[in-house]
Amino acid sequence: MDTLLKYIRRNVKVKVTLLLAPPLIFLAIWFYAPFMIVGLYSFDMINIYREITFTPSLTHYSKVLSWTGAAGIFLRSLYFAGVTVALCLLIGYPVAYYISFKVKKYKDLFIILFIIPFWVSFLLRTYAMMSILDERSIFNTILVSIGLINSPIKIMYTDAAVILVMVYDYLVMMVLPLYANLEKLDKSLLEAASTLGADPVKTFLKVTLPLSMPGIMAGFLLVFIPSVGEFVIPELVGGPNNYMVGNIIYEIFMGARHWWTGSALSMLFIAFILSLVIVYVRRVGERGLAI
Amino acid sequence: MMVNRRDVLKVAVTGVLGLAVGGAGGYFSRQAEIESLKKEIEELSKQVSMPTVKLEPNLNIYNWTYYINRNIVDWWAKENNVQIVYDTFESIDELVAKLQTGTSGYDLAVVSDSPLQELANLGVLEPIDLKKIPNFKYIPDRFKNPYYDPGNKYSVIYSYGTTGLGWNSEEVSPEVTAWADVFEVDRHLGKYKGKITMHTDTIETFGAALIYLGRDPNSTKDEDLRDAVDLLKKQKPYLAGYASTEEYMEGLETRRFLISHAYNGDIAGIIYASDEREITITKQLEYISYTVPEEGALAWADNFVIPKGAKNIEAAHTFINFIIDPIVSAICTITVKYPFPSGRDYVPEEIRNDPVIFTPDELLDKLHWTRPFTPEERAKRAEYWLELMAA
Repeated sequence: MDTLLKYIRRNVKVKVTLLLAPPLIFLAIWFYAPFMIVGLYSFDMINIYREITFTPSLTHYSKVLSWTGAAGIFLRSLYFAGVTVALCLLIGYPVAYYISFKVKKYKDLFIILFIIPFWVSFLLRTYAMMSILDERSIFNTILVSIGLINSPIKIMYTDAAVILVMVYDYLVMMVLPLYANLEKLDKSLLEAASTLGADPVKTFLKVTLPLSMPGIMAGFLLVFIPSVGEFVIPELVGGPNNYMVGNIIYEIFMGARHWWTGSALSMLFIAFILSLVIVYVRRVGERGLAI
Repeated sequence: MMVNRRDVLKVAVTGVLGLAVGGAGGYFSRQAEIESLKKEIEELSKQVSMPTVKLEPNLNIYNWTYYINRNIVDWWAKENNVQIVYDTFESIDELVAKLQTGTSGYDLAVVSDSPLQELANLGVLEPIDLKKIPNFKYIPDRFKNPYYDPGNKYSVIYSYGTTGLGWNSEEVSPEVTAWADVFEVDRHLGKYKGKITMHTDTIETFGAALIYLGRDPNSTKDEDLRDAVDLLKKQKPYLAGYASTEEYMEGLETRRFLISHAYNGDIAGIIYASDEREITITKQLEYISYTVPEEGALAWADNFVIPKGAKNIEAAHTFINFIIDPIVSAICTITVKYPFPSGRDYVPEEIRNDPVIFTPDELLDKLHWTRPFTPEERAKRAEYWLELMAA
C-alpha cells in the first residue's frame, strides 16, 4: 500500500490521470452517452422498444434533407438569429465599451447592474417581456392616454416580438465577452495611436475594433447558437409564422414522437453549429474560445 | 338564479367535508336552511366511500392543468394520510413522452383515448383491477368498455368532450355554425381576419381540415393530407395563430381572439370563470359561446391509467375509486366544467343541461374518434404539418 502511494506521488502522469478521471467519467456518462444515443437513433440503430439493432441506415437523414418545409424554417431561424446577433452587437458593444473605457470607479457595480436581470429565470423574464409588449400593457395605456400614439402598438405575436425578446434574453452573452476583451486591451496602444495623429474615429476603427474581434466573435457564437436553436420564445411571443428549427425538433420529438427523424435533424443541426465553431476557431485561433 | 334544494344539498357536501369553497358561499347565506340541511348532508357525505385497505404513504399524480377540484384532492390526502405529489401538463405530448419511458415515477395519470392505445401497445401501463374500484358501477354504461380499451383493462374514464369552435357571440355575427366559417374567406375567416385561431395540436387541426373536406379525420393518405395542408395554408394568412389552451382561453376572454378552435370544457371554464379550488355554477361571461360544427368534429375521452413501474398501486386504485364516486365527480364537474360521467345526476340542473359541458349523447354518437398512429404515420403527418408551419 505504501509503495503504491509513493509510486502515485512520484509519477506525475499517474497523478494527473487519477485527478482527471472522475470528471471525465462523469462527462462520458452524462454528456456523451446521451449524445451517442441520439446518434444511434438517427442511424436507425434503436427500435421502438429501445433495443439496439445493428442495421444502420441513412433513411432518416435522406428524409430530413428532402423536406422542403424544413429548409424554409431553417432559413427563417438563421434570419432571426442573425438579426438578434446584429442588434445585440449594436447595443452591447457601446455598453461594453462605455463600462470598460469611460467608467472609472465602480466598474464591477456597472457589470453587476447589467447582470442582475439575468439572475431571474429565463422563462420569467420572457413572461415579463410579454406583459410589456402586450397591446394592453401599461406602456401602451400610458402612451395612448397622453396622446403620444393613437392606438396601442401591436408587437406581441409578430416576428419583431420574437427578435426583441431574444435580444433581451441573450444581450448579456454579448456584453460579457466583449467587456472581458476590452478590459484586457492594452490602453497604451490607444495613446500611441493618438500621439501618432489618429483621430478618435480612426483610433477606434484601426485599433480598438480589430483588437476586440475575438470578443465580438465569442459574443457572436454565444448569442447566435442559442438563438438559432430557440423554440420557447417563438412559441410564446411569435405569431402564426413563428416556427424555428428548435420548434421542428420539438414537434418531431414530442408531437410526432418520431425520435429517429428528430435525431437525424438534431445531428444535422449540430453538424452545422460545429462547422460554424470550426470556422471561428480557424479565424480567431483557439485563444478566442478562452475568453 | 334558481337552484333546486336537492342540488344545493349536493353542492353543499363540500362544505361538510370541511373544504374552503369560496364560490359556493352565496348559497349558504340563509343560515336556517343550512342547519335544516345539515343532517341530510351528513347522510350524503357518508356515501363517499373511503378505503378500508392499507394504503401506501405516497401518491404521484400527473394530470392536465385545471382538471380537478384541488381541495377535494387535499382532503383525500389528509384523510388517508397519503402524501400526494400533483403535477400537471399542458399538452398530451409532454405526458406521452414521460409515460412511454416506462419509468415516469407517476402512480396515476390521465391520458386521452388514442395515446392510451399507443401506451398500452408499448406495454408501459399497469393493468387496472376493477375489483378494487367498486364505484366503477356508477359509470354510465356508454363510458364502460370503450373502443380504445376493451374490457377496461388499463383505464377508467375520467372526462370526455369535443373539440369545436369557441367564439364571441357579442362581436361575431352571424353565429358560428360550421368549419366552413373558419375555412372560407367569404365567411367569418375573411370578416374576422387576424382574430381567429386554430389549435396547436396537429391531430385537432388536421382533423378539423379533413372533416371540412369530408374526409376521414384519421387519414394518413397522401392525397387527403395534401388537400388538408393546402386548405390550411390558404387559411393561415387570415389567422391570429395556432393557440393552445392557455393562449386561447386568455385570448377569447380578453377579446383578442373572436373565434378559437378549442376544447368544449375550456370554453365552459371561461364562461363560468372556473377555478380549481372554487365551485361556480353561474355564468360569468355571457358573450362566449361554443359550437360543435355541423360537418362533425373530433370527440375525445380522458382516462385514468396507472403507469408501469408505479410504486403506490393500492393508493392509485383507491384514488380512482374516490374520484368516480358520484358525489365527488359532481363536485369536480361543477368546479372545472369538464363532465365527470358518474356525477351527472348529482350536479345542478343548469350544469347538467348545458350542452357545452355535457355533450348530448346523440351528438357524441355522431362524432369522430381518433385512432392511434404508428411512428411512421405520425412522422408523415408531421412532415405535412411542417410544410404548413414553413408556409
